[in-house]
Amino acid sequence: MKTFLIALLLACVPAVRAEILVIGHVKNNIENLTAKQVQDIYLGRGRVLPNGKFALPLDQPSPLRTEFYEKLTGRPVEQINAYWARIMFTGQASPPQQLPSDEVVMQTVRENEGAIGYINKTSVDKTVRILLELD
Amino acid sequence: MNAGKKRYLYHKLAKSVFWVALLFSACTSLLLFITEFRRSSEKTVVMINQLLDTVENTAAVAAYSNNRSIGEDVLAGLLRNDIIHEAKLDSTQGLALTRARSTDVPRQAEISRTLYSPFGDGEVIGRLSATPEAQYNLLEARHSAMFSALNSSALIGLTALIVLLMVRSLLSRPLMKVSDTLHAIKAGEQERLEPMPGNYDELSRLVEDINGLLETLQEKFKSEHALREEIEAIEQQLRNIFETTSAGIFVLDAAGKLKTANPTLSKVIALEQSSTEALLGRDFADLAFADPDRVRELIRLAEERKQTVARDLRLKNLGNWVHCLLSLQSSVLTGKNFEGVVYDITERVAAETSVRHEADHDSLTGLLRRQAADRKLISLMRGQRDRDDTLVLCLLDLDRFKEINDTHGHDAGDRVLIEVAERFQSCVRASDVVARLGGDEFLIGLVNCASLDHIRQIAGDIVTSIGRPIQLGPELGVEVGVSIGICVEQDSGQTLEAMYKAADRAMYEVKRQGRNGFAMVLADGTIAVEKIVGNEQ
Repeated sequence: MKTFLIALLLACVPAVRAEILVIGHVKNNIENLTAKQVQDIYLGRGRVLPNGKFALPLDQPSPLRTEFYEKLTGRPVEQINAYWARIMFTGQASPPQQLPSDEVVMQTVRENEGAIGYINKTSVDKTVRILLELD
Repeated sequence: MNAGKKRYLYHKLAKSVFWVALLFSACTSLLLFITEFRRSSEKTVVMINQLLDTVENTAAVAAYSNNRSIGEDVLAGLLRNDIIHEAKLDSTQGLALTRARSTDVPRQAEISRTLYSPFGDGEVIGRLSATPEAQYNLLEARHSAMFSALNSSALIGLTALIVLLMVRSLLSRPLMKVSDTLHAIKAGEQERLEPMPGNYDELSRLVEDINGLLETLQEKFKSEHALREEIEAIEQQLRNIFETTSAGIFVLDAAGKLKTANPTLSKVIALEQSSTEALLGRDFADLAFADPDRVRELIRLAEERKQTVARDLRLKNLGNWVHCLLSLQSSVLTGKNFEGVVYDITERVAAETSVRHEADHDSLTGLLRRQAADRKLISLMRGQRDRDDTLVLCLLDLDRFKEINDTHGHDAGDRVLIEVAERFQSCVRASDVVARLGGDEFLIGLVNCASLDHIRQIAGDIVTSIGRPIQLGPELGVEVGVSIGICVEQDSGQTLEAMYKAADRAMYEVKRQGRNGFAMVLADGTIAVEKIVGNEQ
């Protein structure tokens, strides 16, 4: 009950310093990832995970996306968008696939061993592995 | 100076101004080229840095994402600028892109900058570098230098032209005018330069000074001209005197050779046939003198006494006489010289001779007068000291001469005296002295008489000779007698006066004893009277 109340409280004030977790498939044997590794993957610089599997980064809609990139790179999300716009113009790469919600992200992570995503901390469960905690 | 040369001077000025301006222009252009090249290089660096700033973010994205396409875009964009010769993009993830222009120029220092991750974590992700285009810098510098050279050339040329025109109008033209005027002015003329109009500058001062000099020059000329005329007049006078004087003027060198002479000299020394020029260089003493040694002696005297010496000299031909004055003139310039004057004194000598003759001789009989006879006798007596010779003095007095004078007149008396004188002379030798003492008294000095007998014989001859009748006219004959007193010089201490007295005594003794005879003062002082009886009629 107490946990519920806290969750409710947190849900009621979602904008206030929500913690974001970067998650991956439970079966991949990665204990955790650094922010740099996560950034490289999400900005298309690195294509593979430390275990050698092809990485599949998953994006979410704003405002979580905005918060995620700001926490990850310290830059406004507009700059990230501009960056991707340049890359996309060349046709050689594309930004991570955007999924509608934490549940869809968790579902996709559960189904793909190479997938990584980010969710609100409140949405996490044991079916995914927590790779990095951003706050 | 002619017009061509004047123009040449002007051209020279123009030429030198042109060349100096050109050199100056070239120097400034070169300097400008160098500085412009340097400046352009620096500018290029700044511009390249700015260009790199512009593309840095995109290049960082390219390097970050390892995106070749973006990288190449960046490089192509950079190379679109003329100032970049080569551009390079390297990333830590193995991207290595290079783009270069195909110009062949010396490489220049590369400008590069490190690319950092665009996402703020300071990670070095690569390097972007660009090499400046040297050709561009050169072109830029050359263009700029050319422009400036043209600019400065035009400016310098214009300045030079203005300077030239100014020099021409303010200096060259007035100077040429001054020069032309000055050239036309002859020294000592009245003309002057025209004063420069306008302000008081160096040129107008020059003109004033030149005018001052001209003034001074003219005065100098005038005074010098006057002086020269004066000198010429004096010289002409002196020359006239020298040439027309009746005296022969001459200069001898130290050896006595003729150095200079006036035209009269040859006439004076009676060598009219030869010109004076022909005589120059010949020995003066040998020229025309009867006794060259006397001339040489005169020269020697002049040298010894260092004052003017004079002597009458007889000439070789015609027996003319000249008076010669000679003095020594020595100067450093000419050395030792003798200056002399000769003039003809033939007439004077002749006059003197005739005066002397008149003084010495009785005008009626032509016999010596008493004084002349005395001089001669004294000199004879002195001369006899050396010789072993004695003088015999005879005093003669005519007898009965007064009667003839009274009876027949003075003319008859004079003719008797003349006749008597001739007879006396015919009775003695030429070396003996015959003189008329005055009135009817005569004197005869005998020299070189061998003995008393010889004297006696001569005296007898005289008495006999005089005793012969004298024919005064066809019908008129007169007779006179003579009384002779004779004194023989006894010794060297005896004076002429003493001899006169002795002879006089003897003569009176003859008169006292009846005239027409002679008496001799003997050594013991007695008088021996001898009468020529044959004549006593």
